[in-house]
Amino acid sequence: MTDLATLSARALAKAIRDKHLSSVEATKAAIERLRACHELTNCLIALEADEALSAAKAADAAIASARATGPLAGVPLAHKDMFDRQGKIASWGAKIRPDKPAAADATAIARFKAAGALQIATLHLAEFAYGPTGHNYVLGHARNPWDPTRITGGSSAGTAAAVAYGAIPAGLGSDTGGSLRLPAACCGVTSIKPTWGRISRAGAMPLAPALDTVGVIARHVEDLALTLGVLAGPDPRDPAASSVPVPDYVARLSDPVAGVRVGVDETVIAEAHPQVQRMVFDVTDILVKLGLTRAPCRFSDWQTLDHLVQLVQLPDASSAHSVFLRTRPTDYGPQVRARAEVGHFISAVDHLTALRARGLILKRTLEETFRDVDIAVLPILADPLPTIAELDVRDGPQVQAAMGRVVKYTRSINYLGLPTLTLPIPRSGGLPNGVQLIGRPYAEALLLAIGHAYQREVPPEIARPLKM
Amino acid sequence: MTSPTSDASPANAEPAAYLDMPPERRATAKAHAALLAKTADRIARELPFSADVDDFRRVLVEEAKS
Repeated sequence: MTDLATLSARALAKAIRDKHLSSVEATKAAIERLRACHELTNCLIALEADEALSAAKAADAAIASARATGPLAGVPLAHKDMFDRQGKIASWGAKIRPDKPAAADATAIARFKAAGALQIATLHLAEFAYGPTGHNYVLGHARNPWDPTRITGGSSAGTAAAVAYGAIPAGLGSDTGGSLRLPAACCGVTSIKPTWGRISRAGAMPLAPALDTVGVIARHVEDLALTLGVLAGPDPRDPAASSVPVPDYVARLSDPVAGVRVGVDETVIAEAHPQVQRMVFDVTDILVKLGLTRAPCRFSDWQTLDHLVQLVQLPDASSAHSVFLRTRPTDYGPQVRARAEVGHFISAVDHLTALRARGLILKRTLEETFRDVDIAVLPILADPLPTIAELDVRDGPQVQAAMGRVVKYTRSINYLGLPTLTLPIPRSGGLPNGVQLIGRPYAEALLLAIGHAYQREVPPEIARPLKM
Repeated sequence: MTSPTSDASPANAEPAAYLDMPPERRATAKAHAALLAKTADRIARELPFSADVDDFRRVLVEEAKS
């Protein structure tokens, strides 16, 4: 019998639709795996077993009477605990929480429900999604399912751990400076951070709205395509949600990738650990084997981009936390408190300069960096997978530098708003890591087609502790 | 108009004085902001006077049409 943990959401939906499997069976198995995963990784905020099983029974009844037609009908999922759900209070991974239950579902949650998906749990995140490592001094740190002494990456830590473990096939996360890419890379799975505005942020906890991007972590690229198709599109509740037409991402998975031009900026990656540089070249070699063509690629000034994104993010986040930092400072964990304070020292003029420059710098990047390439490849982590202890810097003086090193290759892309796809490296028995493919705005279908082809060479894996 | 009884801070007040921060963390935050301010100043000099925060969305939309 097929191990349900290995199935994609798309395959699971088909098995349920074709009545080879009931939603109740799939949900019971997912609950059991989530419990085991939690023991290992601290991935859960709340398991909603009874509610999930009731919803699964209802889904089975709807499928039996041909009333359920959504592409995810009866499929158990779980999400980062920062999305509004009607009548519930999200934890935000923090001690400070919303003061009343949500009046409505976040748009992403509502669209998953409309597609028939079930939500069976809420998952771990960095406090206020403000941390790139999976450390959380309020909830306890998340642990990597491949090696529990190592970080999961953050902030969408629980989603990545649960997906990697095979507890769920996919789940929601968000990315303001790397929070979909870092945990996917650290846990050896895929993620899509779409173009800024491609998925509505309505009802998602804000961190830095100018950069916040909702996306998905999954083991199979085909699930990223399926879920992005469900989630993307305009939303009157989020004025930044794009009305650019949404392609059929699943149909586009089989688009030919031969001749797509791919490049690595060797200057930018020179500051990564040599092993990480090697990973980038290894993945690029696989892409070339799939028919992509190498081409030159150069980001004009990576450090300037890194400063500009901080000039946007730090005050944006500090503004959101300004009142709580004054009224409830001791309810913050040490690291988020220290990081959220910094934005108060950046002038409004400097913040607005970075925002005013954003269009010009995106345009220049498209004209220069993407002049000869369709896809740029960069690392996600600058270093091999760190341990939880190595990055346990709390609020010490090294916090900005240590966290800056972790997001060195991710946060600048948020300033540009470009879509990225995380690809896990071929592990060859070692620890996971990942690289990001970066495309032009709205190039998600191309990224997903490349990722789908890549997974024929580097198939998805289920994470279990390695014997080191 | 500023009321004579308003609690507006004097111009030379410590930034973010309302935050309860130990001196060393405050110094680190100020140094980091000063570093970023240098980049902001350089970029400001390169920006056209008409540069607008909405330019970013305009470029995204243009790209979708191309």
